[in-house]
Amino acid sequence: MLKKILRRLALTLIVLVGVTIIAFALVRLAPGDPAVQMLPATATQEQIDNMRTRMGLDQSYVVQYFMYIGNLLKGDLGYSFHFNMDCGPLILSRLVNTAKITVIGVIIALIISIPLGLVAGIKRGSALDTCATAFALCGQAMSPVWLCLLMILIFSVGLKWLPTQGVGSWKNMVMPSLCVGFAFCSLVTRMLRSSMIDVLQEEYITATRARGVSKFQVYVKYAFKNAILPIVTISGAQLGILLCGSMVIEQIFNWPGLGQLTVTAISSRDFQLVQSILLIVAVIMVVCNLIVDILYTFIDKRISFN
Amino acid sequence: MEEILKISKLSVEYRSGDTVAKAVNGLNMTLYKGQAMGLVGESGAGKTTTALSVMGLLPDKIGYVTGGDIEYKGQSLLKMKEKELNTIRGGKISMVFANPLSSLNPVFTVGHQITMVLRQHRHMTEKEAHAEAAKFLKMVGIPEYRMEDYPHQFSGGMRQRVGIAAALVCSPEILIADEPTTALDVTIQAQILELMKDLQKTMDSSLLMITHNLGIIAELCQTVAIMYGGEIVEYGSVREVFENPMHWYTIGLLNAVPKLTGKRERLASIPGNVANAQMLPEGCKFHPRCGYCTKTCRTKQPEMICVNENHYVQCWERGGKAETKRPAKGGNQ
Repeated sequence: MLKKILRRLALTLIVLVGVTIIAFALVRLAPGDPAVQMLPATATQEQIDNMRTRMGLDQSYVVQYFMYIGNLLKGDLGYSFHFNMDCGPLILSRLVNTAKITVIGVIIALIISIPLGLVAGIKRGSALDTCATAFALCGQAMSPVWLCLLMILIFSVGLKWLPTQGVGSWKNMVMPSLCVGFAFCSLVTRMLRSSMIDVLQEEYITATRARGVSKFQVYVKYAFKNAILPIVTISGAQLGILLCGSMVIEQIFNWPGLGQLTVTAISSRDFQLVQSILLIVAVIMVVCNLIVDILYTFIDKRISFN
Repeated sequence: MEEILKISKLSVEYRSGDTVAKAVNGLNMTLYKGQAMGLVGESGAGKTTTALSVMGLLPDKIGYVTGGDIEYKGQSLLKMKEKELNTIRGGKISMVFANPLSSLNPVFTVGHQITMVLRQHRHMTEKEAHAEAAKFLKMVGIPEYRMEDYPHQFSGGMRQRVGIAAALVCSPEILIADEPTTALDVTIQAQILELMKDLQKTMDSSLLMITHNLGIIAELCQTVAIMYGGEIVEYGSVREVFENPMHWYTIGLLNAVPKLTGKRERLASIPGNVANAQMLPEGCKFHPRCGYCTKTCRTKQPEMICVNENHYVQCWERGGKAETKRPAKGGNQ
């Protein structure tokens, strides 16, 4: 098992090298000169050239790339000219913020969606199933922009319970977390419901009941373990995406997370920061997928891991 | 002989939207202790539905028992509460399913799938159940070290052995085998049948063997019931029914068995299709396919008549010829 995981990690490394090349190239392909952005509009050509030398932009792309890789290996993610600090700690602090709302949102989502999806699948066609399906449909169809604004309208403007934006108390985290979790919650509900319906039609479920196992145990133990497989896949991928930060939600609530940082970095043409964010995002996705693959082999032994 | 399972006038319907399929129509059947009985019929005759009704496992909100009763040792299974039924299912009455590839849960070890029966009915500890399950697996020819393996690591025949072990582990009084060898290849079929025959004898269980293979019946059973259109059309000892078939459907079935000796002929088949449960014909359900159909057959449902004490048939045409003697009370109708 350990050997397999190590082999998988080696493959992951190749993916990451690919990501560095793409991240590097994309930033270089974007129009505009970062050195010009750094300086006031009145800067002379000489000043611009000096800046380019300082930033290493006068070197060939190949040299620039290897400089970038060399720095990465030293653990240096580059320097953000916009924030005037190293990218590493900057990204990390933002990632922690995003993780806070993501983890809370995902936990709430799972607490709601797993029982809901399970019962909807078992009691197919019942009133509760109709409600769950409607809820799932809403969650998937609603744009996060609209949802965020709706929540602000209700909880901040109307009820005056929660602050509209910023950081500080737990109150600031409520709405961003709920917004992050809502779409995820409806996705899991819908998937688990249909997965449960499929599993309950399997002959091994009838066979399990023919052995005298109670309905409850059949549902919660024997059917659920089969039905959860697609949920694990989806959750892993979604968790990766969510951890990379929701640009819309973080922007609306002015939540200093990775999503908001990405927006700022791109709009201020902070090329080293963009490059590093792209790399971190890729690492997050790869790690999440790796975890899903490992989990999968524990739940379903039919899937061998390679 | 002690009556162990008695099905009387059982009717089962499948409902889906506006369509109603009458899968079982007033079926009567009695299984005695230690007896092996075969239930034969084409696909769609209602054999599996009968088995699932006994187990109380008709699909929810689709399958409905509309009439009749199923009694296990005098207790009505249909009126029984779910909780009580769970003590009978798997413990007193158990079932082997047709397809071993789909009747084992893929994400649990085979060991677990057998021990769960023991823990459910015998309330054994993990350790005791493990030892007992290992004993039964050995009995069906699977070594103990394979208990931690998952179903996908076994071949079809091996999986059916696991299914049989799980069904027999609590020494049930009735074993319902729903085409247990249909999904297996011929050489494995023989092994599985031999195994079932041995185990049924050593445990003194009653066996209800559902199949469309007449050879299996001849091999394994003492009595046979021929099913058509959701009812039993002929019933009797295997010797009687096979040597002297009375119902034209049974005769057709027996003629359809290819023979190894004698002149080579075209394979005989019964014309037409099996009765459509959504549009059952009036009168005798077999009359549209019967070459000896009379006027009465088309309009009136025939009753079970007694040919001799080991042989009953439900046919107007035979009713005229055979000595019509009502079956003795309590006997099989």
